[in-house]
Amino acid sequence: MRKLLDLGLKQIEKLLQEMGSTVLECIDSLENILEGGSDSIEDKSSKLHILRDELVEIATELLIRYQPMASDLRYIQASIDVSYDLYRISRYAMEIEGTLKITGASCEFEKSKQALRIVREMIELALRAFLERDEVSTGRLLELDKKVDELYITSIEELKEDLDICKAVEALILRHLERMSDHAKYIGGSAIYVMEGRRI
Amino acid sequence: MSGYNVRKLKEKLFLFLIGALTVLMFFPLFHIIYSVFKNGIHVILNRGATFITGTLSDGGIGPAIIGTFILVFLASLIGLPVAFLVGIYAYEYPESTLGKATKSLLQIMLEFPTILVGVFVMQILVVPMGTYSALAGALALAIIMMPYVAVYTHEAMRQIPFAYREAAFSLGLTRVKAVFRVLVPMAKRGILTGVLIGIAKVAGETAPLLFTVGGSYQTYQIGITKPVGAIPLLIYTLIQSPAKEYHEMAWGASLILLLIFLGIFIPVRLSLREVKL
Amino acid sequence: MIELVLETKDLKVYYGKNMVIKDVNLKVPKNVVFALMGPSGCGKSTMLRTFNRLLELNSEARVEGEVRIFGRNIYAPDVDPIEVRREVGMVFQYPNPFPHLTIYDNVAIGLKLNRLVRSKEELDKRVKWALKKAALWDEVKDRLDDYPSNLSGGQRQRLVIARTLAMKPKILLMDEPTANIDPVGTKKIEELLFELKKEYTIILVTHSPAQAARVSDYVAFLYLGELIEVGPTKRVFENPEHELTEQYVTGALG
Repeated sequence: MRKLLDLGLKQIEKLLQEMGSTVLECIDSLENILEGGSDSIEDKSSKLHILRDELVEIATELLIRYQPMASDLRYIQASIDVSYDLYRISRYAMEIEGTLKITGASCEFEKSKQALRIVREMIELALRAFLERDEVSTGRLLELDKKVDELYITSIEELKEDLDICKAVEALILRHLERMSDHAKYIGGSAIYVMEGRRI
Repeated sequence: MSGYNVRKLKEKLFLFLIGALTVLMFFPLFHIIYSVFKNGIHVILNRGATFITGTLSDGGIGPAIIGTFILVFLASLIGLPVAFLVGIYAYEYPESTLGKATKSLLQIMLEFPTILVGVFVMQILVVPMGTYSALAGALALAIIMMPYVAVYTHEAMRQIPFAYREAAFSLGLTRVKAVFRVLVPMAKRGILTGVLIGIAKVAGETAPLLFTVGGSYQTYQIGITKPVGAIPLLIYTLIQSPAKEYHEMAWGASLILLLIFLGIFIPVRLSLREVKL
Repeated sequence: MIELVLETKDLKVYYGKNMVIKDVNLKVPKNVVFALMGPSGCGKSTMLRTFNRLLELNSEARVEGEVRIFGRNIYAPDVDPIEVRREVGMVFQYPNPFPHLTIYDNVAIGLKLNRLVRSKEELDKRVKWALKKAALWDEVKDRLDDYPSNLSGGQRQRLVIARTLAMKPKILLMDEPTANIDPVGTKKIEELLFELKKEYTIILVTHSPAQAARVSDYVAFLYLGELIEVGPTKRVFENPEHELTEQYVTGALG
């Protein structure tokens, strides 16, 4: 029965890898959009929704059939969480795209671009931490998350001064980017849960 | 004395009494074995091989020994197949009227007065044939042997766990094949026990032979329609004669009979201790 | 249309005046492991024995309704139960290889007595094939003339499986096959089921819902002789439709 459980776990891992690379594509698209280009994130987000459902189906079946224990159990539980985090990241990216489209704002968005670069690094680190069981990365994630938080807070503070459309839109974008970085941080936390069994 | 001590004493007395009665009950058995050995052994030792091979005029009981073997062999030939099948029938069809009747009837036959069996065979075989014969004796012995074999067969088959019956039938075997090719071989120990017990019993029977075999101790004649001797019958005849020499021979014959009986009975009983299914 | 290997129509079984199986309608598709689960004494083993007409060994049992195997009602008056039993093999709760036969003879006996093979070579081949299929060949190939009493419980059960497979049945009935076997032996047999279902259809009675969850593709829940629920394993265990099923799989029923 171990064989079949391993098969299921591999399927889950494959799905997470695919979800991960799709999320990074969303980030690419966002970068493009921030530079003024156009891209569609909605399809990718729908794809992630489908992939997540598939993962949850498989995870549920593994739980029903094999009563997995210890690291298997933690992995399966965590993978359900991580799939949610990845999906949410793509939803926020889609929101950002929507915001820009609706407002039609054309600004520099320096802070956003900076935050986006950090968020990209965080997603890559988080995926590596979870999929490759790499511990070192999780510490770095906390640092980077702080940076994004700072950028976000700054953008809100700037609203106290003169209010212009770019500052307002940037604040909205950074709010979403802050949520994205949180989810990336949670993925790191799930990685710790799988590797060490403790929740942070 | 306290009530408890009185009770202990009563208990001890009771146990002693029971023990004594038990010993008393088995006393005759051991006494018989002892006296047969004591009285018979020197007769055999004195006369040596002649006792076993010689005819009566030579002072031997040879024809009687051969006679006993012939009778037992013929009785088995007649009785074993029938008894075996009856036992199997009672096992396979326990609910049928014949099946239920069989079990009660077998019980009756086990206890039936053997002399009556002799009388019956005399009427149907000896009188029409006009002569005593080995055949008649064998038939009488077969009638006595059959219930033992049938009952043991039936019991041996019943002891086979139902799981093996299910297994045999689940392979798509017909009833005949399942019973005779799979289940009966499983019960062979029990069935064999029944056969040996039956043989041991009839080898020592006297009453059924009284009116059927006639007795033949002067010659070795082998013919199923001719009279034949048997050891128990010989003992009966010898003791009735006044000659002291014949009495001694009777002791010797008794010892031979006892040895045959124990020779079958003891190994059978011992082998039952081995692990079965 | 899924090919149905076995189907029951309003199946009823009586022990004397007692109705122990009540109007069961079941459909078993091809090449699956189909589990029958339920608390002890609810009639699962009885029902299994209607599928190969082995229930007839019990003189008090009476069967009504139909059991169709590949579309044909095996309780029709012109059907020979012996033929049915050659198509449907059975493995029992207590491993019951014939103790007076060697390992080789145990596997061969069904073939020999039913005259299903024509030569000694064919018999040898079939015995080896059956033992391999039952994942027992490697463990006994050097001692085919040894007796089953020298095998472990799990090995004996696999010998029984080989004995059954030798007849090349289409359906395998298994009555709590691992109930009396140690965990390692159980694991081996459960793994064997995954291999066997590629070629056979397996109907498995189990006392353990966890076992049904592990090995089966479809599961039917029987309670006091009635079919309460049936469906794909994942669905029944994730979200049972019936209250009783929920109680049973969560351990709230006896």
